[in-house]
Amino acid sequence: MKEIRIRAADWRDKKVDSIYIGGGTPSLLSEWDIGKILDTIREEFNVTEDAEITIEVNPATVSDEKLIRYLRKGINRLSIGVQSFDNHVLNVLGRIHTKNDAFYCYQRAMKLGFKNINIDIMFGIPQQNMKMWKDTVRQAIFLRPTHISLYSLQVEEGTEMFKKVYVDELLELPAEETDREMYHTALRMMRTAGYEHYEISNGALPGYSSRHNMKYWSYDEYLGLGLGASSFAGGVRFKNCESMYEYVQAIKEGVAPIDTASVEKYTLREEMGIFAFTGLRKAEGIDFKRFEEVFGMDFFDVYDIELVNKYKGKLLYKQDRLFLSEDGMDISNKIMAEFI
Amino acid sequence: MKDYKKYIRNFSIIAHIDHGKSTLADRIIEKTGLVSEREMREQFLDNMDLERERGITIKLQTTRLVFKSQDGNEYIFNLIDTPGHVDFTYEVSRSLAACEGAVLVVDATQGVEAQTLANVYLAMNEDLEITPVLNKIDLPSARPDEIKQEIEDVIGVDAQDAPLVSAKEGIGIEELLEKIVTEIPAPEGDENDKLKALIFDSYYDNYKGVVIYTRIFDGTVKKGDMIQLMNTGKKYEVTEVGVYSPGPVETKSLRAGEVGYICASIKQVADARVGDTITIADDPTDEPLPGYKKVQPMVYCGIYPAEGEKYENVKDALEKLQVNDAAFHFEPETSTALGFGFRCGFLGLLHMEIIVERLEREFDLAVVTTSPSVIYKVVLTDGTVEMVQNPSNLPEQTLIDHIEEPMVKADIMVPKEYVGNIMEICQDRRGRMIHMEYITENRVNLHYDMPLNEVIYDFFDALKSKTRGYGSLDYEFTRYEPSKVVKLDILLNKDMVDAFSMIVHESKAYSRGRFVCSKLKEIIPMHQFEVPIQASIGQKVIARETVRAYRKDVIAKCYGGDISRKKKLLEKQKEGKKRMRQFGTVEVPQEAFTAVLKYDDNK
Repeated sequence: MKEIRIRAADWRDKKVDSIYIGGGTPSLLSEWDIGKILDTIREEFNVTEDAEITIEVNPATVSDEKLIRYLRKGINRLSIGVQSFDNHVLNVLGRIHTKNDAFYCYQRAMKLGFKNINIDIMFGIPQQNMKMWKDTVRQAIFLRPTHISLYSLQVEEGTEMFKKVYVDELLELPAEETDREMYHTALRMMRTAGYEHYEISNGALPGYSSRHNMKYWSYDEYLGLGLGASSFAGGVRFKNCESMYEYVQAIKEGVAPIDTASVEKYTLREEMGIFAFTGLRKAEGIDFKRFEEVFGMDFFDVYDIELVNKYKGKLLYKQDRLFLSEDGMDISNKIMAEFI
Repeated sequence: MKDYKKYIRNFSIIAHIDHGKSTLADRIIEKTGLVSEREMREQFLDNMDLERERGITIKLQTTRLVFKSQDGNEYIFNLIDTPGHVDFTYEVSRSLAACEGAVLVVDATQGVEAQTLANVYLAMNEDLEITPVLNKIDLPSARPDEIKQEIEDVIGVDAQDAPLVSAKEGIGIEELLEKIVTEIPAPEGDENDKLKALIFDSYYDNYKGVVIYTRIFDGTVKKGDMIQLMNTGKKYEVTEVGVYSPGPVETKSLRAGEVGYICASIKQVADARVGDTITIADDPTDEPLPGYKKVQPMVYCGIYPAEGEKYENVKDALEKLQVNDAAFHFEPETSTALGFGFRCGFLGLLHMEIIVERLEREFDLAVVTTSPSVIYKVVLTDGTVEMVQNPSNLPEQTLIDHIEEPMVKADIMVPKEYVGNIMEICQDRRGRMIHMEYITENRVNLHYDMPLNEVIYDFFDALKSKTRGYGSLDYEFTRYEPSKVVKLDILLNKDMVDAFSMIVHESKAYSRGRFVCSKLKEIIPMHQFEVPIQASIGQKVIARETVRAYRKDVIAKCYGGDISRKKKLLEKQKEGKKRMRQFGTVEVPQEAFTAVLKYDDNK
């Protein structure tokens, strides 16, 4: 709460049209605390009437009381970390919830009045086969949430999963072919069901793409609050400190808890690269007009149109924008790296 | 002063790598008081960094020392160093020709090695007096009596009185020096006769031009003399003569029996060839010294600037190296895969490695080298002969009557327990055993007739690995022999990459093709499409592997909008790409070129 007050100073004259409460498991916090956080934000910032306000919830830690309180406080979007509708896969992932928790959570949320719900599902998980994945996608679509996010499991160093896969070799990741097939199958199934694939890993019913998600990829400013949160404001990118001690110290002194080592002021050319690669995350791609507005230069004065030939059928060009085809998304990093 | 020659001893030290030649030379220099211990750098004679690191001597260093003998006289010792590797046999033979005797260093724990033997034979060819000495006598595993017997049996010189020394500990050095005085003959020759002097080494000095190391056999040479190099026919005016002790010291003249240097404004070492005879231009000696030959490169490979490296810089560096190395040749060539570069000729594989390493270290250049090749004699159907050293230049199959490949006589010396392993690797490389002899109860000398082509790839690595480092090799070109060799091409995504082409024997084509394909499969990163790797002879594909298409490219959440992190990841991905070469549509990491040449233990 204190941080909100400290940080708000620079944002007084800016409009806030998206608030996202996530990272970790905010549904563990009491609903009253969540409420207070939102009240403070509204006091300190210029939050628009129609702002998209999302909270991430874990199916096992949410309750009717919480959901009701969220609604009362103006939270209008729920993101449920389902991951899978297969108990075995959930177990492999080390999740505490079950398939039934996930169904129940979704149904309660609908019943209590949430209109805009996202379901996170994950593929490329050890011991997850094609059938299990298709079942998960089918069930997600069956619930008909407004938004579905699909992610390929990333095994990060230092995690329990990393140890199991790479050190002890107890688990084996699915073949990359399988992983890609899972991705494309899911997209196909979602498309048939009416979901628009508007961003590499997100699909939504028309009119329900996530404003929050699009901010990152549309070169918009955002403010991250809390431990280790990232921000982009005034042309500078930075993160809050990761250490709880430093964080608390800074707050006590009434200063912004920014990790000074993380502050990145990129050159114009680097920012162009960021504009381009983030743009490619979106189905609509890089908007040349917007590029010119931001940087005052023509996109093809900076980048070589030859890239379109180099990645034929993967990187597509259409009048006012450059975007990835579905095949291109498979190698998004490789293509994105070209713009750095 | 008439009998000054009586007090000169010209000698070399011959030894196998690691048997302590350089350390012994250091001790001798130290004992003769030339350099104080404080000034003494470890291993005085090896002064190139690379030589120090590898423990081998590549360029010669010659030093004049003064030794006060127990007989009351002062002697001048000219210690003529010899290069210590199989690639430099000719240079060794010329250095030895400048001497009257040789100190043969044998490791008292290891005994006689193939290369020691090769050098001893060279010394014997020059009629040198051989003085054996046993080194590393301080080690508990030293077996002096056994090794003495071995020397007598194998080499046929009396070794019973051989000094027992430890160069490292400085034991027995004095005794050795006295031995040199009594056993090695003083030089002969007449200082008033017509000038006859041998060039046994040369190097390029930025100020003086080429500095010739010479041994005067007859006559006298001094500043101002007009000299002629008899084999090349070129004439020069002498600008300076002197001796090395250890730095250059100018003297009035060099006389018969002496060893020293001559400067004569010569532009590059290729003009003052090792083995050539120096005489006075208008009063020449009747005939040159025997044994001269123009050294010919035996192994060729392409050297190309690596990605981002300038062609001009590589060219300048190669020119600088050539000025100092008469055995190294290069000429421009182009490769469709690698662009503009150079075809370079070397004495052998080690010589090649040394040049490449010097380019990298001394000139800080990044280069790509292609598969080394020997020179093939291609006899065409119309009867003409072409010498081909670049696989890409091989004429069309239909025009070729037959191809001949260079053969070498390889002497391999190993402890007897490894004989089976050696036979295996030699057979595998088309070697024919000529004979095999037991030098001692435990050591065997195997003589093989082998194609040079098989020796240059990975033979040395295989030999070392299969004999736990105990095997030693010496080889010598013998002749050209008709052979069924074919050109093996490598295709990446259906495009031939000429830099990978090689000429191999028909019988090896399949295994070689498979090996290269599987190596490349390991090294070439995934692309956004499948990359077939094929090995082919003409139109016929004989091996194939496929690099699977790039799939997982991590579709992940960008947690909390940490875009800096994402940017760094992408930068890393891009950085990795820079070290690749683009061939048509396929990117190949530079290391691929060397990796396909490496000996594979698991093969």
